[in-house]
Amino acid sequence: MRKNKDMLLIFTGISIAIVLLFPFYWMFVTSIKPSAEIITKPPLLIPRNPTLESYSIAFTEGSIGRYLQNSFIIASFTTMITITLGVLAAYGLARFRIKGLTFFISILLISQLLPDVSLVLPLFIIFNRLGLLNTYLSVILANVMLWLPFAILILRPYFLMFPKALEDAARIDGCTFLGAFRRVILPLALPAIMVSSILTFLFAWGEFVFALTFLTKAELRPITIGIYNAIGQYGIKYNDLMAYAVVAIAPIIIIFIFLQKYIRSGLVIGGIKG
Amino acid sequence: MKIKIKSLTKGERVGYLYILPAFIYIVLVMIYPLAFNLILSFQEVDMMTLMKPTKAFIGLENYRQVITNLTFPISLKNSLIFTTGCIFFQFTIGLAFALLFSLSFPLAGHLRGSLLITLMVPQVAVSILFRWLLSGDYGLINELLTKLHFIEEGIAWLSDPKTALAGVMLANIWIGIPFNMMILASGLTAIPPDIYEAAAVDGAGPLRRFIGLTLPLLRPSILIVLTLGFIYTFRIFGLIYAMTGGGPINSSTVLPILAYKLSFLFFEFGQGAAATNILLIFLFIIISAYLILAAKEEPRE
Repeated sequence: MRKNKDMLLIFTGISIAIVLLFPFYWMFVTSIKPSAEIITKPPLLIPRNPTLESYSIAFTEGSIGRYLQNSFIIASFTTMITITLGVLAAYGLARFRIKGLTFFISILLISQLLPDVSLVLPLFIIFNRLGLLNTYLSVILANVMLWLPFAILILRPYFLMFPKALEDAARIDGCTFLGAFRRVILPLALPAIMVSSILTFLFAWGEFVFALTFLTKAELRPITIGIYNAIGQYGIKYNDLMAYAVVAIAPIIIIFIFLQKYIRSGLVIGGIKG
Repeated sequence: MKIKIKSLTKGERVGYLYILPAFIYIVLVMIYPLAFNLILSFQEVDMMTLMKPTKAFIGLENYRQVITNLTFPISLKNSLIFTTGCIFFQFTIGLAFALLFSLSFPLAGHLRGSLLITLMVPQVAVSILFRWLLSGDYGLINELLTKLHFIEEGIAWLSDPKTALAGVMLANIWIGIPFNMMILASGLTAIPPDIYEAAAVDGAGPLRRFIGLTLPLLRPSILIVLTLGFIYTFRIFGLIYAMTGGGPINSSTVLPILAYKLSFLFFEFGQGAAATNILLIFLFIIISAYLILAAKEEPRE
């Protein structure tokens, strides 16, 4: 009886997962179909003559390698700056009696909800005056702003969990505040830092509107803009477009598969979607 | 005792040092630009005047221009349809999945976790994926709908003004289901199982247990998921911009798209700033409503 019920539940659960994740499968099979097979009726669920032609087009005709590199640079620096500032602030907010703590936390909560569209115009004009348009820095600075409040909010609960006695013990042993922070707290907070780094990196990888607006030079643009431009370039050659999309999301899928545990806990605490 | 107090104040001061860099950053890159945006919205700023050191203050003229713009009522209507429609489906389906995956069966956690991938994929990638799925000639969705005899022949979803908004909604619902499921599922796990056992002993059927117990106990999670859902959906830009660009003929233009186009297509920067502020006003109304409702909730717990 119990076993039958389990089987039914597993069957339902797997069916739901298959339906919801099917678009990813479709993206992938379309990308390995020759052009003749994307316009068959009925559509082919499994390609007859799979080919990597669309991928070779993406890598030779388009500058997809360059786009990937740009995305990597932007996402990495965004993550480093966000996490450095975020760890310090989250620690400060968790460990010390700060006057106006609720005020500061409210600012963080509200800024997490800000639409990116409301920052893009003022930042565009400010960066223009500072001569920062068409630099990685412009997009990185804006991205950090978008994810710093989120990083602080998911890091702080972890710092709250550590017993203060641990840190006091380190200080009695002669460590300074900073020394205790570096030697005792940071290593213990490493899982939390992992969570917020991974999420920041993934979100920065997918960022669109700042890159679209601040970067007009093709050689600086990240992969999200590459995809957007590919729509105009390849039109309805969906096998080529899907190859582009597969390359763009491959790093994300890999990170997701291997680090799913961290991602899930971070998303629940931060209550956010990208 | 005295020493303790002294070390605390010293500690406090160090505490501010930790927060300072992030605080300065937020002031410079968020609060200052938002203030700047507010000022812009009261000035006459377009391509010609952008570089001038002083700009004319024109009061609420930009706001008047935006509100009387023929696209404004359309985009407001689209935003409301898009947001409420997406939330309705994401929430209902998300809740159903949360209930299913909160039953303990083998693989439940893994299956639930794997669905979160839709949240992590760049929205532009989802855009082109759904352009393909919704394609009029060879799109999979048309194929499915004709097979099931829901439609006679393929619909050109995204190039028909009648269906474009529904098309982008479908893509966004797909992204949002796991998010709703995740938050509601974590709310469900917080409900102690013995409550249900007691209710079952008292003879309450599954439907009565759901309406009488699960829903009321899940209220805080429901409130938060609906509020966040509204805000995240109302501000969506990239997904729609890359799928339809707001078209055809503004049929999928929502407020963020209108605001962006005013600034970066028509170069009416003052009006673009005003439009984003109108967008912010809507979000603040929602946040206030949430805070009022959440505060009402509190004494009952």
